[in-house]
Amino acid sequence: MESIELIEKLSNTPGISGDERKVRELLKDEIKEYAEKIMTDPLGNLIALKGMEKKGPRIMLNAHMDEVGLIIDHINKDGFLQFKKIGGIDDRVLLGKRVLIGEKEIRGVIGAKAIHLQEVDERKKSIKSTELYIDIGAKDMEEAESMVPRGSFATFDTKFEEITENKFIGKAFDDRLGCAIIVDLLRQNYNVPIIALFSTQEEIGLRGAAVGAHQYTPDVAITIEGTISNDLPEVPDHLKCSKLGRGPVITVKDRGVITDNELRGKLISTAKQNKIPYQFKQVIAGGTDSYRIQTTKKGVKVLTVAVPVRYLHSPVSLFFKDDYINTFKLLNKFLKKF
Amino acid sequence: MNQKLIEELTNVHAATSEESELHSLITKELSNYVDEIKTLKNGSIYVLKKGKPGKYNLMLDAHLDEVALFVTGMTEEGFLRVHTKSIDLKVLPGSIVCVHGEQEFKGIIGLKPYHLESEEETKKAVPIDKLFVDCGMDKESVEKLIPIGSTVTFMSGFSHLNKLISNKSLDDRVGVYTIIEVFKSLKRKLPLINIIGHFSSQEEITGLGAITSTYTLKPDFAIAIDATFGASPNESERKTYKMGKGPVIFIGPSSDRIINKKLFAVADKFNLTLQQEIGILSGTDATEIQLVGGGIPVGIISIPLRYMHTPTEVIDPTDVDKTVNLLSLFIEEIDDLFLEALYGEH
Repeated sequence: MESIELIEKLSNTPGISGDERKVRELLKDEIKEYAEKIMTDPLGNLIALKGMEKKGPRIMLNAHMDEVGLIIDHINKDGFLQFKKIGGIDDRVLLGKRVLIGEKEIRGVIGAKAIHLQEVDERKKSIKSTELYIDIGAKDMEEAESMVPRGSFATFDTKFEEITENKFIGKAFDDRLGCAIIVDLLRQNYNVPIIALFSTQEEIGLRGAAVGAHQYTPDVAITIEGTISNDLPEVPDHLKCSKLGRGPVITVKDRGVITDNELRGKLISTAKQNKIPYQFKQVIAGGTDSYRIQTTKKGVKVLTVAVPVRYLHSPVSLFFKDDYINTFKLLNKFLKKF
Repeated sequence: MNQKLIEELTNVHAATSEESELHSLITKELSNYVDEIKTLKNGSIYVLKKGKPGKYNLMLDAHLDEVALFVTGMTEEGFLRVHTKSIDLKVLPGSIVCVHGEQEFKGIIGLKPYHLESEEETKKAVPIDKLFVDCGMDKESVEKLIPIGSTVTFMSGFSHLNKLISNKSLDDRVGVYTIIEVFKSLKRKLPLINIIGHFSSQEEITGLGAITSTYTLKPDFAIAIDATFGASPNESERKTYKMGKGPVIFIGPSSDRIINKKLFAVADKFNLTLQQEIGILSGTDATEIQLVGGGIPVGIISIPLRYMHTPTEVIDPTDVDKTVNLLSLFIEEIDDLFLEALYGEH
């Protein structure tokens, strides 16, 4: 399937907030046949236009290109690297993981103390990220610096794959799944002008989207995300946020946005008419670029729709192909209505 | 170092009690170099190279098995519950594992989003009874395909870190590799004594291979080759050994003085650098081997290895080469004087 190949490429490409270049180049290449105009703004956002001469409301499709990761901020005398986190990463997922660092994708591992040498209480406590080291096999500080200059970004060294029928694992599904859906939607033809905004720096404060809708301000914007699926053991039903396999996740309210009531109603009736499963985001947490877009200039009507993803912001996440397809279908049918 | 071989050895999954996949790899590597190869019922495999006159037997030992988790049950949703004692639970969340059920499955050890947990909770390591493996399967498929008791190992991820090498299960595939290369080097000069290469099962949990094979093979003396703690910023200097500074000789009650003396003499003669690990019991197969039958003199040679029992163990290949060299020279230097000393004292 074409979309899966695209998701694989997007997932395997590094693009930490602040350095989305490789993802941007990949997307540019993917959409060049379908968009009439493609440009980049000072924040690094990628903007693509299609059918701007058409009548009807201008619709923005938005997904962010960046992913969470690490930035190297210190190298000790023995050549071990220390880092700051970029975006919300749980300290507990870092230990014992492989990372790729900098332009040259230098390999490193986040080393863990041998269990044999740990005191009983050490075994029970989680370790703060500020106390972790990345080992790149350098013999001292000088060699480490020559391999990995301070300020290099590190991403998880995780390869995309199908682990069982239609279940895929990889990194950065938040929000490369959204990026892939927009590419799939740009391949279609609609009666309205489409503005695609692939934004930067979402994970560190929705920063790219703060300016991304300035030049081409839409009437309606749909932010497409990978969102938390917390359908895990011992989680009460009302805290599951969303569930794998139950279709696109529609946001009513999150930390920054109440989505447009009328448009949301239209989206839900589209799902019902076409017998597409859908679910509501249950936990009022997190925020998306739609907050920034909603408050652009005089204001924009917004919707947020997402593919449920387990283990977001960790070295490896999981999604179900049916959810991706149903999210695409719902948005496609919705856009056809205009 | 033959990097292709160490990559092949570490890519194989051999949880404690499921070591057989390594048997064929060892057989393929050594069939042209030895007089005998045999797998044993305990999951071990041994090779024999006859010496001349071959009055005594030396057993070189390294363990085949790697640390693992065991499936203990499943949840209503089809997530697996697991158990382990040999793995630091803190390295598990966010990792990919291989589940060895009716066939091999990949799974994720997942973690709940931290903003849905209390701050208190995130300060603790996730306890084993809260951890689960997500293979993306429902309960029905899991019940059919992943029986309780199935083993779970770390996903392989062989990588070069500059000049160092990282992967799962370098503990103790570096030992397995060392013995394979020592046997290849015996071509240079026929040894005075018979050399047995014993690749043992179940070191990480029960010591079964070391105990029962040693009884069968009846070596006169033995040397275990295993991994020890490599220096890193996580560990105190006193408890670790430097990477790239050569093999580590264990000094203490569980190693034999005469064997150690000979190892140092060989190192002296050929200008090799050795490190010393001072301890009581070594935590290797040697501890078990020493107590088999009427008692067996043992030596322990270890290779410094960082981040032991994690998916990202790290070694310096030059340490492995130096260990191969030390052992090959040790075998060549075995003479009547040494054998007399060994048997005079015991």
